[in-house]
Amino acid sequence: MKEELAIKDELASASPVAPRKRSRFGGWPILAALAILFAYVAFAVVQRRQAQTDLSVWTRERAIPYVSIVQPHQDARPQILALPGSVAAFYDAAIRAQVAGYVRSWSRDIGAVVKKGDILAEVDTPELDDRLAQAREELSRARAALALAKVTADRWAALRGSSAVSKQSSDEKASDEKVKQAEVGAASANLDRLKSQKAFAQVVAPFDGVVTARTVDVGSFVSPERSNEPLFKVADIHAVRIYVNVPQIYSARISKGMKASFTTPQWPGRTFEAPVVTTSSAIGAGTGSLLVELDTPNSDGALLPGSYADVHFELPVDPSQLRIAASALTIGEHGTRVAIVDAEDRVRFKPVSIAADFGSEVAIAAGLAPADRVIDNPADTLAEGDKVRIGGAPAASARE
Amino acid sequence: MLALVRIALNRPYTFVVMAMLIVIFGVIAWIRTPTDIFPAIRIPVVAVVWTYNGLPPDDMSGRIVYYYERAVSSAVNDIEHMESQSLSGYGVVKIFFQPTVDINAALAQIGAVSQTVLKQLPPGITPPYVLTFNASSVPVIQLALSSETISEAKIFDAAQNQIRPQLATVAGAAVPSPYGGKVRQVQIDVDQAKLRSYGLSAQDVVAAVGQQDLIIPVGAQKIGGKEYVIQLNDSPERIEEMGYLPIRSVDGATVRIGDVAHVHDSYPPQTNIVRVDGVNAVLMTIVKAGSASTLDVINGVKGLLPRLREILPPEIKLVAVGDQSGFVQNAVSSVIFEGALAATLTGLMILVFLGSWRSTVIIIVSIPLAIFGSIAGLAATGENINVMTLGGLALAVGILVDDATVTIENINFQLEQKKEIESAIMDGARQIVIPATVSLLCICIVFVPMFGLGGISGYLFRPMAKAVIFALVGSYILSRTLVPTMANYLLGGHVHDHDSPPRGFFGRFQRGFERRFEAARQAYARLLGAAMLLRWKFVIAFLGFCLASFALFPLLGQNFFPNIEGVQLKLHVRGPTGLRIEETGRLVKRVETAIGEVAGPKVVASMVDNIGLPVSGTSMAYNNTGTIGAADADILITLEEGQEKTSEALVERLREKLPQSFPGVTFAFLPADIVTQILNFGLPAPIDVQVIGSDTTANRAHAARLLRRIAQVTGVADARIQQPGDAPTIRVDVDRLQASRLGFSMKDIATSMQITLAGSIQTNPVFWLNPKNGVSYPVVTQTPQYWMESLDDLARIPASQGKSPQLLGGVAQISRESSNAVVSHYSVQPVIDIYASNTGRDLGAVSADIERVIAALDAEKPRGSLVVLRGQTVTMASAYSQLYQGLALAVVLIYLLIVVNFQSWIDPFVIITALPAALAGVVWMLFATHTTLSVPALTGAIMCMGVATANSILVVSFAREQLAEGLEPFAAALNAGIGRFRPVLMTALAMIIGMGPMALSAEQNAPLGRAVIGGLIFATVATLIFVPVVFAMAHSRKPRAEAFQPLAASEMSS
Repeated sequence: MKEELAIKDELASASPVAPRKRSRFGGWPILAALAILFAYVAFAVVQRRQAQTDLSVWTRERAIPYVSIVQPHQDARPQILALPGSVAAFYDAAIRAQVAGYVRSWSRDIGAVVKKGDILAEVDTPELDDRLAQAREELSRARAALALAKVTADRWAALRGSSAVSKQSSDEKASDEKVKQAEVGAASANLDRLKSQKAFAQVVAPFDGVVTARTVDVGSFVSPERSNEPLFKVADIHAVRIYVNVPQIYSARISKGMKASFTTPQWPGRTFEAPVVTTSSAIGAGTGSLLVELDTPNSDGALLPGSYADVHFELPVDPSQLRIAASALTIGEHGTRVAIVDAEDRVRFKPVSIAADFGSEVAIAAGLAPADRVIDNPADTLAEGDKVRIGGAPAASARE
Repeated sequence: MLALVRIALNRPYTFVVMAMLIVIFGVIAWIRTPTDIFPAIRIPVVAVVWTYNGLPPDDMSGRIVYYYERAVSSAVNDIEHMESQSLSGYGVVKIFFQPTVDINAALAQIGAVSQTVLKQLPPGITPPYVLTFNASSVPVIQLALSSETISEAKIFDAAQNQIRPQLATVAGAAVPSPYGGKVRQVQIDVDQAKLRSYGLSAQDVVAAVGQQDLIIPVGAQKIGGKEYVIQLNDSPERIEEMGYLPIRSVDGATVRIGDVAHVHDSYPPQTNIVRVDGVNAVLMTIVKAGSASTLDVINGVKGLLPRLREILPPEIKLVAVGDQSGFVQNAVSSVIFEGALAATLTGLMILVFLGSWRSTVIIIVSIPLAIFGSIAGLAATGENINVMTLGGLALAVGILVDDATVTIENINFQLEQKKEIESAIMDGARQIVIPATVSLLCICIVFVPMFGLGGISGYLFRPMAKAVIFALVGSYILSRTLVPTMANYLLGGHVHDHDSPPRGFFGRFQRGFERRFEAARQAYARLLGAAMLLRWKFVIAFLGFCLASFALFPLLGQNFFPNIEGVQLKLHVRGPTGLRIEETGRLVKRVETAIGEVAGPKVVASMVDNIGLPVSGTSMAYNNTGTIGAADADILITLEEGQEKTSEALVERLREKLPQSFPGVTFAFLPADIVTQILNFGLPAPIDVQVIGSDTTANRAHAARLLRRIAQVTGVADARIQQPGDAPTIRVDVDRLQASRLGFSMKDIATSMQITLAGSIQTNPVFWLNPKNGVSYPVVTQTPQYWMESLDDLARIPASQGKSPQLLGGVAQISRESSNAVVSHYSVQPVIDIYASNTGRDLGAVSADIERVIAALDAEKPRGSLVVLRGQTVTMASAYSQLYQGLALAVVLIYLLIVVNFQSWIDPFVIITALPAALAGVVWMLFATHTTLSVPALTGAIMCMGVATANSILVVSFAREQLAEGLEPFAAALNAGIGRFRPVLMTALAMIIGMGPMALSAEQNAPLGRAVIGGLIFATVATLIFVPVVFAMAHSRKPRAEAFQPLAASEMSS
């Protein structure tokens, strides 16, 4: 505690002058320290300011979004309307019995390729045969009667010349001959009718084609009356017709001669071309659709009648229309728009109207110029006039 | 108090046993207490997950979530707020509660209301999952399963049905459904073309399955003496048999399911892909739930790994990724190391100062005892061992030595007066009992405001305050009990230890130190004398300097918690809205390549992608990355060990490069470390600007305006809108009249479309039991997505059953529009979130700028809408204001305490005047070390207040004694300064040295250490120079105050 006393003495002896003197000496180091401190602070502050400014620049730089650009392009690829259809034969005949009788034999089964006139089956017609015999006899009888009448008439005509008979009698005989003549004709016609009916006992193919159905068998009774079921079906499939029910909504876009193609499940990978031949020109009440017919040759017989067909109509498009990726569209309260990057790298929104939608692509009817730099996948935060930069690789889009 | 000392002397074994008990209980507590990164944050959150397959977000929001939220808000008590996300097919409602909630009652209410609303919701909906978790429920480890030979569906199946039940046995592990892979189910792939060719619709197929695959128990029959179980083949035994089920007969030909569909053991369309280093995998995320320790959960899971590998087929590779235990362990062990280092350094310092190894031993023994006592106390009050409590203990080490040192110093002083050892101890104890108690109270008082902290910071800092207070109280008690006991043994025989000539190297060193210290004290005395002569100038200059220092305060910046660098980065990638998952997968692959290029070789150790939405809604509840659909992906990038330092630069480069290379893609770096994830409380970003209101369109426009401005705020990165409104949407407008004219209704159309596009499972759930493994799999009728690839395919969906088949396109207009990809609600109101992070600038400044942006655009905001800044910013602001208030309150409380102690209004004020210097020191230190202000730094500042006050009290009380002895004020103050120079310096040095390792570390609590060091350096200067000068001035001006002196002084020494 000695030093304490010493300092106390010092303090006590310190005159009012002393402090000033001390301060003059002691002030310098303190001032110097303060100056150094101030310099340090100033330096640090400036450094931080600089860092802040750099950061500010960096942030602002980052705040300008990068966008990827797609160019509108033209494309003549048609829009496809795909609808289910069914394949029908070019001609399709259902062959029914025209005579009553029992099937004696059938010679062609389903799938058989037949020529016109080929016998498909034969029908035993006992009743018809009887009637045929009867008719033949009737004809003979009529002919006999006619012969008698002719002789009689001739005779009476000669007698008339000798005026042995009255003119009345002679005329009667002549007339009788004519009647008998007519009866012969009738009997002959009846025989012919029955004969030709007898011909129907042979069921023949009406045209070149394929037997697509057979419902009779040997011994089964067939008759024209009970002919709800056809005996055979014969289809001509050298060409096929495809019928498509086009819903009303699309009906206006179908026209005669329009190109179309179809596929069938049994021929995967094979596409058949078939132009639109005609339409029913009426919307079916029950189906609500327009029946459209397409034809296509079927030389190899690949297309089977009754098949299901996936028909693709090629709806014509305006090849001058611009197309862009569907991912470039923004749809919202302002309608459908595309965002483009103008010459000053700023975002401009252009309202567009879609002419056709191809799924991953759309055709634009109006509102887009071919040189426009359209932003792909525009963020929904982009606004008119925003500055953007065009980025490197295009972003992955949903395009396949 | 003195009675205790007497016991220590008379019955010495008492406190030796006490010390042993402390050690025993401390060690037991140390072993038993779970170790974790943070204290348990018991803010309960309940997540309710609704699932309805294929329901778009807008409908999910309107038809399910809204309704449910309203019901919940009226039926459940103590809700703080609710958040919800309506995604495609999922609705996740998170209910946050007041801290006072009875969570079990709330859960019961939630369960009840979930049942009540069910009738009002869409048909076929199942009751929701209800999950409870809290803020610290974050992923702690992930298991990745991959295989080169086994299909993803089978891996997923193994993960879901074999591994998950095993993991559920690990205490505290919550295991949501796996990510990635494919869910096994029986898939009936309907071929639309075949349907059309038979004139059937998908409904027919579903109806056929429903009628042919049944679960109808048919009963039993008693025949003769037996009762027979009747078994009907009402459900196919093999999957292939499903294909033989008849649909209907057309023209005598029977159409079977197999004719129009492909039945196979398969999986639904994938919505979630996980890749571990490029290989498709299944990822199981293990989330810590409840109060279990992170380390226990991880160790439990790791312990199960060998067993799990045995269960799995050998082809499946099982690896653990994203292991947080290393991080936790590192954090904890580095804090322990810092603490130990601090204790050692402090011990050395004491040895140097006291020059007596005996005294030093006494002090050093009391440090671990106090810490063990604190740990036992913490364990008893339900706290775990974590970075915060350990930080508190490290903080306490510096003060701990103080009590013991002062006691020993005093005993030594008494011994030097040639007293007997026992009376020396008693007298020494008597002298310091009041100052020691007051300084203990001072330090405890500054920590009191910590207990008032709300929210996350409260949960974090209360245990820290507890740790400090327990340790201090422990050390206070020890210094009255064990220290006297030990002093009695160790110092008794060495009365003249101090005066005996020192020997050896240490002795020489000690002598040298003493000499230099004496010189320093002389210099100090001269300085103090000079300051007293120049008193006015000095006081004004000093105060001016301190106040001027506060000018640096705004330059510091404010963060909630300091950023720490780790080897993990998490990158959130969001492709253009509506991007399909396959494309997102491709995009992510390219992004990974780009990352590899930017990072360069040997930087990235591994990358794990998690693409798209998880298959299970429960995983959505745990998701904190903001994934909303197939266009979203998270990439977890793990850098090679030792690359922590480069991570920040890498992030910056990636932020420059990635957006340029991938225009239209949004990138955001998410917190990968467990700490920030906890602090963000489920949000993927620290800044969340919400536009709340029902006019969604206008709000969206306003959010876009805000975003544009916010993105330009200096230091903002990754600004983005969470809810994209441009999800590509195809609108199908059915002409109902036309349809009805053709004989079918909207229901036919909707059902057909649902079955075709979304699958039948939601409205016609059918299950098939696999007799082989006993698992029931759903049977789903659907058209494979790859068969529906164009607008035409959509238009050609058969819309009606029966005679005249109609196609959808025949009765409907198909057009494009856009819709919401996600609908979020905040407290039952639609909300649009703008997320942003700060980089290179403190959160406080960035937030303030964003607030300005919000204010500037306030006029343009839609009527009735609200723009609110939430997220970490808000938590930070409230923590700061609470801490500032706490600080002010602490100063007032300390002042009042000293008023009571000194029975004077002026002397306490003299003491308080030292505090600005402490704060100035904090500011200077933080400024010089480029440390932003943060909650740990503020805690440090508070701590400084306590220590600075305690030291000042020491000086002032000595000065008052001198004054009472009749010395004039200046001499008294001078004597006090010189007399207390040593203990004050020792206390301060102990603290500073103790905080040194922490301050130099790169850990969470480094700012705390820095603040304490800076604050104490200045506070010590103030205590030793400024306070005596002010004291002297105060007393020389106010002689009247001396009337109180004798009374107070006599009390002081009693």
